[in-house]
Amino acid sequence: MDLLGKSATEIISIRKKNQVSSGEVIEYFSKRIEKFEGKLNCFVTKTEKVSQVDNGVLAGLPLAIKDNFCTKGIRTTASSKVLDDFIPAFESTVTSRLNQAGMTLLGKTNLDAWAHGSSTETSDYGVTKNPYNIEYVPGGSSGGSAAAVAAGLAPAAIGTETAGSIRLPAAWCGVVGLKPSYGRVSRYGIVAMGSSWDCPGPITQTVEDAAMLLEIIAGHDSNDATTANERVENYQQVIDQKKKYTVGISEEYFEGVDSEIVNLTKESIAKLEKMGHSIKPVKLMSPKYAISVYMLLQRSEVSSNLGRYDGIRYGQERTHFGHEAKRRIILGTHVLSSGYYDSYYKKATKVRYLIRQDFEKVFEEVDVIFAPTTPITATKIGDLEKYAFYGEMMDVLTEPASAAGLPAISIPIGMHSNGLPVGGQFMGKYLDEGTILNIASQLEEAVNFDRHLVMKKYE
Amino acid sequence: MKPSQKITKVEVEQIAKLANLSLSPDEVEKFPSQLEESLEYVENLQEIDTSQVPENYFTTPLKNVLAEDIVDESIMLTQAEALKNVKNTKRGYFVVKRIIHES
Repeated sequence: MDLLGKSATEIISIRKKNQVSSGEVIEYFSKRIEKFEGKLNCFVTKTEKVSQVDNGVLAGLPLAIKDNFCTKGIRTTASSKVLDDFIPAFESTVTSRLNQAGMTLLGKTNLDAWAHGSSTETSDYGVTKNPYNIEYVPGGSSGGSAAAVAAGLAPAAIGTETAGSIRLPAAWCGVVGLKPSYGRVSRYGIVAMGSSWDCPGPITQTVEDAAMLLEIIAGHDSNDATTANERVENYQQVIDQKKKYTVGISEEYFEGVDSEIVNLTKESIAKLEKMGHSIKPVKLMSPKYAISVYMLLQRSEVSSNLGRYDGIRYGQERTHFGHEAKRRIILGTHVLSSGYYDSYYKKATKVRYLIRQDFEKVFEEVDVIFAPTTPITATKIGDLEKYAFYGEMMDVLTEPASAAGLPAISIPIGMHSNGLPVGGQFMGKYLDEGTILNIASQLEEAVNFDRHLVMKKYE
Repeated sequence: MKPSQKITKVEVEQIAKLANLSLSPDEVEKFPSQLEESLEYVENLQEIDTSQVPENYFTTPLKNVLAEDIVDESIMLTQAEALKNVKNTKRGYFVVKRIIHES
């Protein structure tokens, strides 16, 4: 049976009907990786670790996992040479829950080293190519995961987002990327970046797949004290309800955005209205402040988190840090040093608080906010050097929701005339993943994006 | 906050030392102006009045959680597991650089 372009939930249902065996599914994706990995460079390590669990939800479903999740006995590098030979002695909560559900691990996907970046160009294992045009980046930092799903090398994948690292590569690769609320999914066993921001989440072909995977990985974890002890919904059931919502649109999220992206976003808004949702203009704080908050808090947390890599207990010495990690550690160390702490770190935490309040106020009037995911489409490999603040500029529209710890989902909303996909995002209330999944699934149906088109390049 | 900060190469080298990083000559050359650019950008935060905002560290409404002070053996590593990734061990210990020298 040809599995090209079959979503994760479709594969699960085909397998349940015994139309295909687990072994056949795994072999199918392994072969595709063998054939196209040389061209795309999605993986740092290929594993094909076949699950021993044969009755879980994911039995027979192979997944690709970003290489910053610790996997017991399997090399975990965070795409940095510092961890080139690091074999974790324990399993992250997310992969552990997926293992219990019967996941087969296809491999560990490429990212910007330490997840510092928005293009995968800072990876110590080479850039991942955008499946739509291999001269372009897939976005980042979860670029390997997004490209693998787009090209059909994995039916679905898991990434992490600090401020755009799931939604941006999802938008640039024409797939679905869900960043859950901060604390909805455990960070235990993930190579830490910005600890008060990091959120693991699914990168998938469909909203339904994202709902299915979120339900497995979400929930309280005693190993991560920042996880919310709140009920996890049956998200797949939630998206079947097709509710009508009030959708907020904020002008601030259209400033400086490519005109074709603006037009496609407006077409989506018109579709939402036609489906019976009500559209309401709202006013949000300019995303430019979130950039500053992110720049200060993330660098500070990075300088602290990367302090542990000394090559004594595992990994290589600090001389193996790349350029970008060093630059971030230096800025973070500087702004945390005495005399600067109040004016930088503390000020930024206070503005972050206001960003959250700003969202909360708007959410008194609307159920969700819709906006473009990125200001432009994927950039050409090498263009990173042309921008003073590449990541900040590309993530400008994703950073506010991350700063506020809110859930958001990016789905493909059309193609740009340059041949690259465009994403639109729904931002929701804290812990209300159900609503953004529900409305994203409705828009997905109306947009009817052809995700199979790009996969046909890889046959 | 202070107006645009000037960062010198010497300062960058001092910060690098604090952070236990070795910089290439090229990085020492480039980092000062790149850091200045970043610090200049974040000055827009001064446009926002935060005088009424309480001190905070996380954005979520979660409260502190406390755990019983007991050993959870299920998440403990054996000595062999803990030393598996170590390049330099001696009698079951991590070997670190000597920091106290005999005079």
